[in-house]
Amino acid sequence: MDVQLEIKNLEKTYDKKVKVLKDINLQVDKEEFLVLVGPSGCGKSTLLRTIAGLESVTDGCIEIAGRDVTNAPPADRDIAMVFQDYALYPHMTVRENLAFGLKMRKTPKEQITAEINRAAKMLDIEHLLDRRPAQLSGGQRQRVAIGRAIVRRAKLFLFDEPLSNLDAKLRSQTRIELADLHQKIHATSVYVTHDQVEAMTLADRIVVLNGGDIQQIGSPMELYQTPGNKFVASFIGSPNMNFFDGALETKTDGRRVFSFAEGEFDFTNAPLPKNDGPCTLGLRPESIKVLAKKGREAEGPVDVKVKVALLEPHGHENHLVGLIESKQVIVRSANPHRLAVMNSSKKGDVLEASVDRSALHWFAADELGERLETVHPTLN
Amino acid sequence: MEITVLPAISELLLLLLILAGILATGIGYIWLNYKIWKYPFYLPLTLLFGISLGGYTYANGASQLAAAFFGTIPFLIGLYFKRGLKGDFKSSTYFLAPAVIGVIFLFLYPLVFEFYLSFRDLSLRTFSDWITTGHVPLADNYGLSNYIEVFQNRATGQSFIFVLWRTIMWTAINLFFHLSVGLVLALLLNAKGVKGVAIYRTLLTLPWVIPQVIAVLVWRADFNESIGFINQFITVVNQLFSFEWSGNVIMPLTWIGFEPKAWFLDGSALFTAACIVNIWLGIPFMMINFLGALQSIPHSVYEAASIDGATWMQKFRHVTVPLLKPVMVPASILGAIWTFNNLNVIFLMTDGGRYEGADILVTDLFKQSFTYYRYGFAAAYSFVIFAILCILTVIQFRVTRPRHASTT
Ligand SMILES: Nc1ncnc2c1ncn2[C@@H]1O[C@H](COP(=O)(O)OP(=O)(O)OP(=O)(O)O)[C@@H](O)[C@H]1O
Ligand SMILES: [Mg+2]
Repeated sequence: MDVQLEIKNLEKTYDKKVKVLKDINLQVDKEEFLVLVGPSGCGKSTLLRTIAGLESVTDGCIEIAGRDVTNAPPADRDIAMVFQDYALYPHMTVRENLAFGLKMRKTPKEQITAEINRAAKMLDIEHLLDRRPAQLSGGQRQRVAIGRAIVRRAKLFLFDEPLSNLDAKLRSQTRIELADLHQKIHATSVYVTHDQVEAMTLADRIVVLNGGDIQQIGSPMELYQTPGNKFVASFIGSPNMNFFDGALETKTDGRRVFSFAEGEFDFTNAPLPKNDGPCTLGLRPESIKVLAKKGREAEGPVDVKVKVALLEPHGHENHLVGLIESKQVIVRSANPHRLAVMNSSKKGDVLEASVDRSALHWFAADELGERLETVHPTLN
Repeated sequence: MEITVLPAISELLLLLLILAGILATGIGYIWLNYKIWKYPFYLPLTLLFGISLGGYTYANGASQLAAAFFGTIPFLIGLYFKRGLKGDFKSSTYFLAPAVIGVIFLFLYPLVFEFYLSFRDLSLRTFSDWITTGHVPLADNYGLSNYIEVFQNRATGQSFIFVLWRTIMWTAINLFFHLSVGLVLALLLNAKGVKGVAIYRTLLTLPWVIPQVIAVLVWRADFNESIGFINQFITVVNQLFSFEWSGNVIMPLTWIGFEPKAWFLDGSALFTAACIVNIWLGIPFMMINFLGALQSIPHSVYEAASIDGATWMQKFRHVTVPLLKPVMVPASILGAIWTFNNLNVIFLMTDGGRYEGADILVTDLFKQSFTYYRYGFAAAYSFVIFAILCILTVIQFRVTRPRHASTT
């Protein structure tokens, strides 16, 4: 596959002191949809703006379609950008807004008209073409902003949190439309968001940023199933992963046990890190399974007893905030039998739960918390 | 002419003091109003105002009856509003009424009366008759002679058309520089990464804050022929650019008229000087207006434009100017009217009309009418100016109105 955007050793420092981006290396393939996620202030917008050329680069280089554009002005990069506040020209009609970029590039009149009609049809804004931005709703403005990118047929589309000004319902609807649009026009896109649902649903690949560093790059499922470190594990997935700080040890009878302040798990037959010692165990909320009275949902060892603190019914699934001794954990389930057990419980009840041994995440006990390789006991 | 810098500064201080006083009174008034609606403090206060007003009129020689009448006015006004606020008469008419009465008596009535006067022969000769009998004779030529005189029989010897031409020049020159310099300064202040904007903005706003009288007096000192800054500056610059050639000192800048002038005695120099002063005075207003409008344009719109491939000139033409237009049009119409009608600067620069050569319509009106107590004539003259301004404003609105108002 062709590489459409390549970023090498990119650094960005504001005011000679604040280091916002640290040694970013990134490749985006042609027609790929890449999503940048990370907490607020981690440098997502800054990275996107350096790609757009709106922000200068302190060190490193940026190539778009094989051409070094590190110091090129935004106009020469053949990119299109959708801003969080839409940045439509308030004094122009929708039609003029769409036409502006083409006019500046001296596109012939007939072609401008054709492009506008194509984009308007695609985005279903044909009836709005003669209105001004002030006469549009937020969602409609968003479409126009996207339309402005589409008519340009740019090499690279940049989106900076384009949906964050929309209400929840409109946001999920527009998200679907965006995914649909991408399947139609196959534009190479870099999309910034701090909403992990957007990231998971839209992305071909996700880049997780934290504090100006790339934490991990991978497909949504890769990030979910094998997070590279504790930060990625806690950032991706909702509700958050449960973390247990403790230590692995091998007992004299050969059992391998993970013990933490509030209890211990017997993981003798589970895939575990090779060596004993302090480490952190990560359990997704759905990996702690509440045991039912009978049937398939009653199978499995009783690993923990969870005291119910709060139950959050979502209809199709339940989130249960529980206590293992004094440690708070979140348990999620969508299985009807487990839901029934949860729903019939009251605050203070103690439920028995089993831990899914195929979904254990192990991280080093240090600050970075890197993922630890595991080995299956039967393979030794 | 005797102008020194020192009295100007002391006058400046005095005027600033007065300004502070007015400000304090205003703030005090608002504060009291706020308190008054809720506290029994109200009655004593209106009484206090009443007593002071009545006392003041009485002390100035009014009859006891008149003094008593004035004394009760604050009380009545207070009562009026208090009743309204208590809910007895809560209607818009009730609260509008005082303002409407004020407008009628302070604005409409004088206007109508002035129109009436413009057809009457009210002058020093008939003035005492009017005071005693209330009768003013009709002016000659079926009452039109005042209007005829405005265009013909002129005390200053300058034709009406000439003064009108100068007024239009004055307005055009001033407005041009107000708008252009104001816009450039606003753009500079709004530029990304300028440090100390607050300081520059304050400094640049100063001409607007200083009372016009003070500013003009200081400028007059600067334009003084022998000791003023301007002439000395011109002399020094000329010397810098001078050279000797076969025994003569050559100053090339003087060839284009850049040389010390008798600013007040030379008519066209006086007009130039007045323009310079008024331009200096008027720039801050436009600058602040434009700056406000510029700052309300989101930065991302410019970023979108640069991604769309616009150069800075195109951004200025397609983004900045259209977005400034809603501010620029009313500001320039207001500015044109103010400049057209600006008595202060010319009046003060010509030392109350002593120096010739810079008069515009309003100062000409003042000079020709009130120096000779020609009230009917003054009324006619002001209506002529009023009519000219109306025409100019209508034209300006036509020209600047957007081509097609947006529908839907
Ligand atoms: N012009 C600037 N000067 C100095 N520091 C800046 C500037 N712009 C951004 N920063 C800093 O750079 C860091 C990254 O900012 P950035 O806008 O890229 O964050 P972000 O990831 O987009 O956050 P958010 O999700 O809130 O939009 C922040 O700590 C911010 O304070
Ligand atoms: Mg951001």
